[in-house]
Amino acid sequence: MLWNEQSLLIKAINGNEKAFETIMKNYLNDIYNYISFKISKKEDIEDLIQEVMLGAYQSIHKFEKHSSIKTWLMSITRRKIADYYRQKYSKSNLDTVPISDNEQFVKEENISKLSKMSILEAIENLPQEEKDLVHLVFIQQLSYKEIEEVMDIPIGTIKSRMHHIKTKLKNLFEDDWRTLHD
Amino acid sequence: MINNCDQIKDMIIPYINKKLSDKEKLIFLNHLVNCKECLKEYALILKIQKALQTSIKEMPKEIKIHAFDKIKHNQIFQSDNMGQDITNLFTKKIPTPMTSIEVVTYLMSKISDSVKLSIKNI
Repeated sequence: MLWNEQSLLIKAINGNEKAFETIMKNYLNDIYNYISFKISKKEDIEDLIQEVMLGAYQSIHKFEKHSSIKTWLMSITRRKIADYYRQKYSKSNLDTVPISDNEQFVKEENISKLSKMSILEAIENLPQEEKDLVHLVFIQQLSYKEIEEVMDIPIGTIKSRMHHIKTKLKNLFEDDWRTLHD
Repeated sequence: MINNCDQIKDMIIPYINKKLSDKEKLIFLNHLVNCKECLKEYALILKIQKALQTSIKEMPKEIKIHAFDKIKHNQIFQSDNMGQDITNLFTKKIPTPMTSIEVVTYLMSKISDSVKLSIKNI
């Protein structure tokens, strides 16, 4: 953490709202990208961002347990997204909710048939937990250690899921793969 | 010494995310030059990363300006400076006359006797 951010953080923990907002503005884009990666309705995205900010403000005294402000905020964002899905789909568990708001759920076994899909489409059709992992690795650029904090799963599980995702995507692009080999 | 393909494959993402030290980068690149298997893996992951990077968006201004609204709304009922908070509430968005009365009625019901007295004297 930068010295400047550290001094602002101390002020924010002591209740200084301006200091809190100054810090948060550096991360709003990351939070926005995480939420909009999974949710497409503008009103819901806006509401969730406000929920994340409120959650962060109310729990800032707990920050010291996290390695960085970013991992802390990603954890809060992930919980708020889970709350959103829980509320929206009531008794459904997360495995059965649609991949995104406006798209139909595509079963894993069908992914292999979608050979001409783009990478983004293929990732869009991954199960929620795998989609989360892809976002945190490639867009938020978190290390596996940081992702362990955010997702609360062991590094071994993260590595094995990544391996599984890579195998799935590798099979999709078999033609490109052969071209590269030749 | 890192020589094992599994260890090198674990270094691909940190390499792409620029998180390897110079020494680790050297080991990683030297291995890649001599290993088709790891090079293929690197090409796939790079392809995924480049595709995902194109999906990164700038947060729209209209969402940004309201990001802290719930905090401010939450604080109105906890602030000591109740008079200023009520002023802020009405200068943010101008409600219809009927909505204003409803809001004031609700706020007044939350204010303690001592604060009620200070507003009466304004």
